[in-house]
Amino acid sequence: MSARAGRTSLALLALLLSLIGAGSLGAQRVDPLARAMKAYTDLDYDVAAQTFRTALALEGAARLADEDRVRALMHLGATEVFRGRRDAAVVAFRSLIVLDPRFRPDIVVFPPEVSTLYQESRIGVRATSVLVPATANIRTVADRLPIRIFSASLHDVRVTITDGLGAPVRVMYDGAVGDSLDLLWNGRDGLGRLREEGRYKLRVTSRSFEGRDEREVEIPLTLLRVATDTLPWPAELQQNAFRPETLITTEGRKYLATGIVAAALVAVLPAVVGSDNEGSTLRFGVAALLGAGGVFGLKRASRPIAIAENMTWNRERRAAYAREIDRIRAENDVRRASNGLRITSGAPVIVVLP
Amino acid sequence: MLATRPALAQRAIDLSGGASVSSMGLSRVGTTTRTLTGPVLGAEGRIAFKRVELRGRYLEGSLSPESGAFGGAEDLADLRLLLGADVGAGITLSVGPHLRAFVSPGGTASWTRIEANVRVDRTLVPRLARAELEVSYAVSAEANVLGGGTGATGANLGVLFALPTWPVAVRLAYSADQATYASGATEFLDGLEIGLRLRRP
Repeated sequence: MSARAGRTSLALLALLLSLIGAGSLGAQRVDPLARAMKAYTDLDYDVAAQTFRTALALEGAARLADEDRVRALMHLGATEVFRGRRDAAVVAFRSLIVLDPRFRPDIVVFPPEVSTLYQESRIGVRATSVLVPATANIRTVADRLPIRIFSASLHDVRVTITDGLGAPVRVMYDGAVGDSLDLLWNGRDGLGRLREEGRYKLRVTSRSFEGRDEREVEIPLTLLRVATDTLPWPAELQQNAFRPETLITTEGRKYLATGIVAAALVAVLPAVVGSDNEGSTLRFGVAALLGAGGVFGLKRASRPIAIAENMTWNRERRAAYAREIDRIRAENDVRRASNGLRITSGAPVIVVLP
Repeated sequence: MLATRPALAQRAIDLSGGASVSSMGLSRVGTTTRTLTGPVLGAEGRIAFKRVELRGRYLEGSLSPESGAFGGAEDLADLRLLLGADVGAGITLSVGPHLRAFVSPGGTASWTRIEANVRVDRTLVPRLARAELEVSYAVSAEANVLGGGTGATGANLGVLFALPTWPVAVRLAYSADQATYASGATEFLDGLEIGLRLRRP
């Protein structure tokens, strides 16, 4: 290999490595609060407060994601505590509580004066957060959409389902909530009717002690009718599923021979055992019975003989089949009547009411 | 007993039992002839596992001399145990002890036999009646009177009415048994038997 070719290879390798490095850097998430966080950790609280506020003021595509807003507000509040600006800290904390009433500061990260002020700031903040699953299927009368509401503080809350135009469909709850509240919606209105397809809203309204609506969390709901699967009919009972109900035998002559031979044997039984005694004449009754039995056996063998236990077994089999048909019919009637719903929930929107 | 065969085919252990009443006659012929008759009650049981079975039967009754005959009544007690095997085709081969005693105020005449037994069952009326033949031969026969026993042969032939779905069967049979003493005397016991058999449903 020449020296020139070697240099060219090294240059290509370097270019390749630099491209890989650039790709790796591009894949890393750039922290929008990096500058503010650096100022905070450098104890440069004035710069940190300014930078956090600038980041929080961003709108449009640059608007902070909710988790970044929570982090920014928490650190802004802490920064203001360290700057001795308690009121500004309370404002930041309350904005955070409205955004996420369930949030609690990490006591390992933040000193007690910050955590304490945060807890004090919760008092009087009438805000809620609402959790609903992304999708819920209402297939049977037992199915529900679970709704979990978390409250920042004890206050009155009204939970309603409205249609797309805002008309109330059902009031789910109206009363005080201290910490959390669990509700279930079955997709029906206040009269128990399953709602039609369409767009709806779950509204959780926080109210002041005077009864004035202050703040609302709205979650868009989309109801979609879902055809409920019905159970298939069982396979028809085939002939081989049953036991034969009659017996046709071709051994009639054998029965007759058995009867005649047995009758003759009974008649001569004393002699068979080697006795000269005449024996009881009653044995001729048994002989007659055996002979008649043979004749009857011959006659009976020429026609089908009902097999009672097989008939019973078959009858029970048919009854069980009929019961299964009835069960499936009833189940399918219920399923058709319930006509399932699929409820899809969207992202919550916080509305501050005038 | 064959009426219970369908159940036997389904179950590992088959149990059955029954009771009977017989009108029996005893004729003892030696230097004199003595004839007695009377009712005899019986009970029987059977336990079978696959093709092997154990059967037992006990009879007891009082036989009285026919009018005009001399002598007093005798009590009959008869116990038989048979261990057998179903060899197929409705034939069962068995062997076992057979003890019989005639108790009278003058003493007790007893028999101790070891009997070989062949039982044959045949359908008489499909799903209604069966014919049962049983023949016994004493391979050993001992008696405590009249110089001892020399042999004995017995047979029993009857019809068994049994519906497949019923646990109860009715049996009507005739039995005859001839025993020979060393003195040359013979003892013939026969009778008509009506019985009920029960099997585990």
